Amino acid sequence: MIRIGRRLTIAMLSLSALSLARAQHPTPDANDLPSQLSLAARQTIVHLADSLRSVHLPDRPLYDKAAEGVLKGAEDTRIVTAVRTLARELGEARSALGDGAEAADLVAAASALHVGATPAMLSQLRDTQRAAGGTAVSLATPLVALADLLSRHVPAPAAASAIGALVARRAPNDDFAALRAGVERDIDAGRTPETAVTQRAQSIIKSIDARGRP
Amino acid sequence: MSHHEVGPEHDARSLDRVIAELRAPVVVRRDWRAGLLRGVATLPPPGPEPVIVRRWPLRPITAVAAGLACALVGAGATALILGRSPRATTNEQIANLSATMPLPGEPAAQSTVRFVFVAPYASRVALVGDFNKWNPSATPMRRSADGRAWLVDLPLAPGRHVYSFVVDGDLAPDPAAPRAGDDDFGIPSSVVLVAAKGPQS
Repeated sequence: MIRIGRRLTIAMLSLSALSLARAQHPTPDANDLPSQLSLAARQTIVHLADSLRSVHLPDRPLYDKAAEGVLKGAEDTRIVTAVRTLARELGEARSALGDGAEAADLVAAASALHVGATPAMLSQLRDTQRAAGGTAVSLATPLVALADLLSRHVPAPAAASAIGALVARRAPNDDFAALRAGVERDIDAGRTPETAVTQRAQSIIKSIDARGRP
Repeated sequence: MSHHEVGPEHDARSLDRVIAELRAPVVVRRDWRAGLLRGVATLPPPGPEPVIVRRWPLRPITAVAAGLACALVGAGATALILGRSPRATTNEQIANLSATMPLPGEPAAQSTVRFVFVAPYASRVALVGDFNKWNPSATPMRRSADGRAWLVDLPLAPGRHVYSFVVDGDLAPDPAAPRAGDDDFGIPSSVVLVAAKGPQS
């Protein structure tokens, strides 16, 4: 009887540890997909997610994308296309940023690719960051700012150049925010996106350089 | 527009009609009743009740010990997951891309982010995003004290989160936050970054 009790105790402790591990790193599955999706769409998305996971890419964004599509009333075919595109862009993002890139960086990079950045631009940003000695910090903030600029129709070379100039100076997050918000205001005021990003970037760079002087 | 009879008199008449129908005698056919009684008469008499013996599969003290051990493990796990002090961040800071920071000496954990949406004339506002599976009923927002804005505090894991507001049933991006860019479904969303590491400096 004591043996049974011990085994029961060990089994329950193991289950508790397993539950704790799953709670900290839950793996999404078909149950995480909205029930409104057809069976075929669900199977396709799960298959794509499994493929990403097998190559150690984050698969959670695919489930999130599907849920977003359902809430926004998109048809299954459109949702599957968006999920498939995101899966491809995540792969391209890792190719551009390298195997050591964090999940947040990869997702932000995939978003930037989606709105017009090229893999070469992303690699250039990573190289710039390394050259500036900022390898210990995330590229997610510059990449989110880049995606925002591109979504406001700033030409990709001008946007990448502006973001790269800030990364090279190890600009704090607030400077990326100032660039984004300033460009938005300037565009609303009637400036062309390219002029807006160029002038705002120059102004912020001057400010950074001035702060750096003794 | 069509009109229906309403009012207390109509309600009373309807109630009386229902009560009268319920009180009406139930008509049972004689041949059906006789057949039922014949069937009951042919049933065998009931035997003695079976005796169910319940036995503990193990000694009670062992079960109690196992339960206590699991409770201790569960309490430890809960403390590990929930015991970290969150810090609030407004989405004004989000607008500035100032990602939230873990507390000093604290490992990467969830940080509490405050989402604010100014909509004085809205009657219902909710927050949707990848943190709640884009479920519009998962994260309702509460009206601020002055009635102008809607807000909610939400613990978020480190990373990039895409979100939007649902204002009286319609989706609206956060005007103070960066655009997600990848709005594949025709309605833009916003982005919040929650940092796991220090800011760039």
